[in-house]
Amino acid sequence: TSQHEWIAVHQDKTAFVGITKYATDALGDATYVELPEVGTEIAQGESLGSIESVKSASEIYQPADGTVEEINTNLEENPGVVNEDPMGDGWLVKMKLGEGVNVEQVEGLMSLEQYEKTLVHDD
Amino acid sequence: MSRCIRQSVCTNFNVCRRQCFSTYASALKEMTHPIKPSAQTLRHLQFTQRIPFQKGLEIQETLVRANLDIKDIQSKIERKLIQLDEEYKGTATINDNEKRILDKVMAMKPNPIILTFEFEPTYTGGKRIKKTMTPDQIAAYESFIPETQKDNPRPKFVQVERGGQVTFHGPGQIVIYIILDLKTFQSFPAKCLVSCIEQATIRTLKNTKMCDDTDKPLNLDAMTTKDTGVWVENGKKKVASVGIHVRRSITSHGVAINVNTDLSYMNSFEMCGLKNTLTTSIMEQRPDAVVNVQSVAISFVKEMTKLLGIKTLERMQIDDVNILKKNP
Repeated sequence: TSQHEWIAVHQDKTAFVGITKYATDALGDATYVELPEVGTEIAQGESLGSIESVKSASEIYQPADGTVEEINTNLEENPGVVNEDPMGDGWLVKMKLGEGVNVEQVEGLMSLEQYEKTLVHDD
Repeated sequence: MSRCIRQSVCTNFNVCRRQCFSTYASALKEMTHPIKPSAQTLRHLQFTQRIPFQKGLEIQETLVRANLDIKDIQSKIERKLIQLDEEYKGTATINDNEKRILDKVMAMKPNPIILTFEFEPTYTGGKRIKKTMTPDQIAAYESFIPETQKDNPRPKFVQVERGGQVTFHGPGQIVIYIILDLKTFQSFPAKCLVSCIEQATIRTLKNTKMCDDTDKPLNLDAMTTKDTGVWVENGKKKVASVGIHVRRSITSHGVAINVNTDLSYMNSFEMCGLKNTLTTSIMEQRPDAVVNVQSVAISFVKEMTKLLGIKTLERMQIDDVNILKKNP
């Protein structure tokens, strides 16, 4: 998304959500990650949580409607993983997407190619 | 009553191409510059009366909310126009009246705003300690009354949405909130705004005059360290705390500089998550200075204006906080 969240969807409509490398670089070293409770329903565009660096805190937004099934508890002890591997081990939450959600058509979501084009305009 | 003072800050300084620079590159004057017309004027709302911290938060939140709402409207319009273009393969047109309305909406983006406040005694907790703060700890903060501060209200403990840990705001301290859209400035992510705030603070401590009727500057040598905030005495004492919050690239919070604060409010507790940290103030460092919070506020905003590459600064002094309700 243009707010630098990523989403990876599996066939059973579960999805992992995180933030992009661009976002982690822009934020600085993460010191604390605040995530929602398991079972929370979050609509697209709502706050999913926040990431705190030494001097700032940034909100993270939900890319598509869904329910939180799992949160990355490793981030409680090791928030720096978000910077080290934002697209892999640094995932934030695992979601069950809403019934009607088709990520191909969700407003605001982009393919990797589309996203990288927006980064050019960010500078 | 409020007074409007327009003050142009002219600068011929070159644009800095680097995203951030170290504290040693003091010759560089700009860290970024506006890339949208709305960001070419900085508005300074200078609150000249001491007010409750919660009131300051409400004012900040109202302005942040306005920024977010306008941004949301504008992005919806942009997506709708793109969608129309795709559906009609470039042949879609809108009539002149509709276009005029859309142009007005797209031009509504607010200017960057800096709020400067002096607050009644308040301890504030950041996000990280929200879950671990106990009622006993809060009671300890709220019952702390220094001997020389009996005439002031008792401290309150307030939870806030910003980076950092426990900090104190109160009499003799200038609190500066910076509300702007990072994307209206060139190459300006959150950590660069933090660097900008740190540099503005360092320059303020060097350049602010010792008192109104002299040109002699404070000339305080301040620095950043691996710990948050701005430090003096070669990094041994903390004179300002820094923390910002970012929502959809709209920033809030900023910096609190101790001018003539009663330091026992801070040095009686473990502040900012650092054990044995000693806090200091401008007046402790320069006992012969006659500096008040308002002169530091004005000095900081000037420095920030230069660092942001903004050429026009408009200041409004507000001595009745309720005026904002009459003129939304």
